[in-house]
Amino acid sequence: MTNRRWTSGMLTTEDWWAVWVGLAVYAAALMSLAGLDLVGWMSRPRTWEWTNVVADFEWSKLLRSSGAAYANWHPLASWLVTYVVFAGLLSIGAYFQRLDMRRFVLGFTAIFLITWACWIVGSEMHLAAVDAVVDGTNAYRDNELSWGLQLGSGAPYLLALLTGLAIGNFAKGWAAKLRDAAKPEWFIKTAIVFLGVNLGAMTIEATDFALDLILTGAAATFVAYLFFWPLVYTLARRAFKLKRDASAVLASGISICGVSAAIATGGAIRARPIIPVTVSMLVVVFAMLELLVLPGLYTAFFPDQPIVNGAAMGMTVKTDGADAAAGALLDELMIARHLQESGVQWQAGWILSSAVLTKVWIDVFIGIWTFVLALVWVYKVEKRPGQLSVGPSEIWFRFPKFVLGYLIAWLTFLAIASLWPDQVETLDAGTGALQSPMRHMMFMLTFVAIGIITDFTKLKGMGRLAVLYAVALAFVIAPIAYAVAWIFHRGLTPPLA
Amino acid sequence: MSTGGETAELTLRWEAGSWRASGIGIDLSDPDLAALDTMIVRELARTTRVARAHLRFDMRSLPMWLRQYQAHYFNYVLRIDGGEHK
Repeated sequence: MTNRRWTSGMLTTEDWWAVWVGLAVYAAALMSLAGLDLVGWMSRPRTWEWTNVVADFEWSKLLRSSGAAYANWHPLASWLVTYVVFAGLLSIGAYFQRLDMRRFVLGFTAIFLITWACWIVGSEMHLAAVDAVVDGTNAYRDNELSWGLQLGSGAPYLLALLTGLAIGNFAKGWAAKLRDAAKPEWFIKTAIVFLGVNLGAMTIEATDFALDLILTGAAATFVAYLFFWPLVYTLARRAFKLKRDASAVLASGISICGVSAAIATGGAIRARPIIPVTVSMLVVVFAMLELLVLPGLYTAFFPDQPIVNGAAMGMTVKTDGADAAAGALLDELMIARHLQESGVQWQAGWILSSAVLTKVWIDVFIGIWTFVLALVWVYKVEKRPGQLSVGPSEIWFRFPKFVLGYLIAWLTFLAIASLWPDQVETLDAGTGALQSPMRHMMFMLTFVAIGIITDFTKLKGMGRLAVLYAVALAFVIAPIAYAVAWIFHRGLTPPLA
Repeated sequence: MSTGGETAELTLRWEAGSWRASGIGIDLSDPDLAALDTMIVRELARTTRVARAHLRFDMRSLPMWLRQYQAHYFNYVLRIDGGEHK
């Protein structure tokens, strides 16, 4: 399992399989342009009220299919097709990745069931309904709710996360069995390919805003690589007296893009794998803490700065899974809070996109950064120029491939909409299942999976590293990220729904 | 086996606290990667006429849960016929 050619890994890595699965579903959705709805079977939960459902149970009160062409399907039939299609697509990927198929299929089935249970329960009105008029009705008042958490669509996310964490930390034997199928990076990268379609639709609706997000996301790259990294590296060397290799790996993990940066940097400086493995365990646990704390914190303290909060999240929370999950949670919590306070609903997806775009920019440059670092190590640290060389192919091998899927989805959507403007409505409706319930389901799967693989006891014995991580996060990364996001995005709010 | 060509292809693994390089009939290991490089250069210079050794890290040496985050650790090239190793 080595990387030899530029095509290496195309059939054997989660990164590439996120592209294949995402684009396969997108291609099916594009058949709507030929009048065929191939994705409308996708199931989605309804918002429900428990006394009403208990009094007169019907599956149709909990679930429904997405597309009009499938409106007559029994809700369980569309849910079952949803399971079969996604279990099938992901199992094909698992087969080519040479995973243990029995463990993957059983594990994925369990995670799928947990995900949907959380999604349905989290859609109950006492958790999700917001006391405000949406599309001419106030579900909270109409159902005469005496209390409600008013979390909007953030309720299922929180429930999924807490359920995953409970399994990962209190049912460790079960978590170990699910681990082969708990693939938060694969799930979130597939969701990000779907998000490319959303970005296409959003770019059509608010071109200037979308371009502004894209361009200012680039600034985050400079901040991550040129501010965070040297500051954290210096902190690790001077204040914590860590060795050069551990400092470099830790600086990348904390400052850039988490686990992928830690591994890429470990490889670039030819570190013993135990160093990036240890740092990665730390990153996964801290990313979970950030995911638990920051969305609520930003919503509580900066409720009028949605895009600043999203971009700051993209620079602060490490690992793609945790960042996108935190962005999604922030998106839902902020929209619900703003709706509750002002009666005005922001369009969903913009806050999430600001978090993801910022992160994608940072991800893209990890290959170049670590290539430069590898050269510095060969010439300046190990001082072995001539004996040892590193090829530029390393940049490609470390490039995050899911970004290609994200770009293809976004640019093809834009191209179709630009070339055939009369088809925009059909295109938007045809990809609706992918833009909303499919993307939400992949996020929900991510929340459950990321909880399952997070074991807080891994922090034991990491004393000095954990303290360094906490200090760097609290006093370097988080404040600078927020200040930079403030400079570029202050006052920006999403378009109204 | 590429004993007379330009480049030798070796697979690099991390096993039980040591680096291990194998391929084209050699199998060497050492806890220190720079020391292993020296051993590889000496061995290839002694037994083959290759000019370079291309070392490619086997990702199976990393834990399964970690590979979903990054699918590449590192590859590098060693020059066999020059420098202080000869």
